[in-house]
Formats: sequence, C-alpha cells, structure tokens
Amino acid sequence: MAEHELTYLLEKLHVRDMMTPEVVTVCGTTPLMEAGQIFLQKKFGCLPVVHDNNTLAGIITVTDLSRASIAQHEAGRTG
Amino acid sequence: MRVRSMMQTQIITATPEMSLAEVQRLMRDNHIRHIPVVSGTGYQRLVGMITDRDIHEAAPSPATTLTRGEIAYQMNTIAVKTCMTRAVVDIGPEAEMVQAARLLVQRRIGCLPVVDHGTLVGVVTEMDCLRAFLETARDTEREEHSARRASQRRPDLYADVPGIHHSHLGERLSPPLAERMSPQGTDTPHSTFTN
Repeated sequence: MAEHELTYLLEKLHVRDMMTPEVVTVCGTTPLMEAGQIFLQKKFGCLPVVHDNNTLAGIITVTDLSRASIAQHEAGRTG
Repeated sequence: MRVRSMMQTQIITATPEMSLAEVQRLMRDNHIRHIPVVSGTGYQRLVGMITDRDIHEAAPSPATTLTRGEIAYQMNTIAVKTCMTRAVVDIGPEAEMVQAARLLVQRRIGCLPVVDHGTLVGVVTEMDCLRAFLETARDTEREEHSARRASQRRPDLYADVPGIHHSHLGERLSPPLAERMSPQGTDTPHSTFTN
C-alpha cells in the first residue's frame, strides 16, 4: 500500500468507527478499591468517570491507582 | 508485601538471537507486550527487554513499498539484540511491592523484571502492583475492624492509642486512606464491616 493510499483510507475513518461503544463507567463517589477490582477483573487500563447524568467527569487509570498507593505508603511512613 | 509473593513466575523469555518475527508470534500467542531477553545455558541471565513498541518501531511502516515477502524476510532476519533495550531497570525479589510500583510509574515502564543474583526469576506489572495494593488494603481493613471491636470491648486498653489502624506489615495507615476505607470513622460504635 502506498503512503497516499493509507492516508486516504485513514482520512475516511472516524473515532466512532473504532471506539468501544459499550463502556464500563465509575462515578466520582465509587470507592477507589472498587475501581481497582474492575481494572483487575476486566483487564482494563482506564475507566471513564461520569456524573449522575452520565456526562463525563474525568478518567481514572491504573497508573492513577499506583500513584495513590505510593502516596499512601509515603504518608504512612511520615505520619 | 514483597515482590516475591506477587511476581509472575511463569515467564515467556526470548534470546538475543531470536528473530523479530518469532518474538512477535510469542507476544501475540501469549497476549503480552513485554518479553525479557535472556542468555546463558542453565540459568537465565537478563540481558535486555523487548516490547511490542520496539518491534513496531523496527518494522517497516504500513505505507512501505516493500512487498509482503520482503517484509516477512526482514522480520525473520532482524535479531532481537539489534532493537532490545539493554539498560534494563530491574528489582530484587525481596523488595517491597510499593518500590516496584514507584519504578513502574517513575520510569514509565510497563513491566519490571525481577532479578535474583543475576538470574531472572519473575516479572511484575502495574496490574500485580494493583493486586498487592488491594490485598494490603483488604487485610488492613480486616485488622482495623477487629482492632476496633477489641477497643470497643476494652476501651481502657486502647485509650493511649491515637489511631488503631496497623497493617500486618507493622506500618501505620495515614489518615486519608484510613478514613476512606472506614467511612464512618473509628468513633462509630457499630460498623458495617463484617468478617
């Protein structure tokens, strides 16, 4: 495939063509540990966080949880 | 919690002489993205790491003018040693899991090889760290709960203890997570947690 052919094909595609439409979500009040369980069970690396009306509030990643556990450990050492 | 107890020990490895095509097959068949590269007979001396990204960068671009056969030839002849990472960040089996998590986050790597006296003995990923974190939190919650019940039975014995949350590692939980894990606080006479 030539470069211009590939570019042409990619230009025809939109995000909606490739995205996962059925999404597992959490809300801001979901316990962190519950989000952690979802990551482990579903093998996800990232979860969208939604408001009560299902609008997007943010995203949470496995790395965010890692950071939380490190921060927790450090706070526990000095506290 | 130590790395030894949480690491994956059934590891797929590659050798420096293996072709990229072989490694690509190993990754696809085992649904993995990182493979430690080892050499030596009898023991597994870690010499590098190869990731799906290394292969992607070494492979011809999708817009290449090479034919299918030429691409296959190239992937079959390029050796792992030419595109693996040699300066590998590793960790010992007796290190704490939080140290592994710190390395994974700070160095932005997805997989940390566990090396004991020069020999590869396992790998840990962020998912293993998450598992360790959740298990520690669950243990702490249980112990906190039983400590709370003990303090309710004999408040006099616990009068001097400011926060009765001790994990089994002997480390004290800092207030933020302790509060989140016991939303009613330690003063509440009845807890919703049951063992």
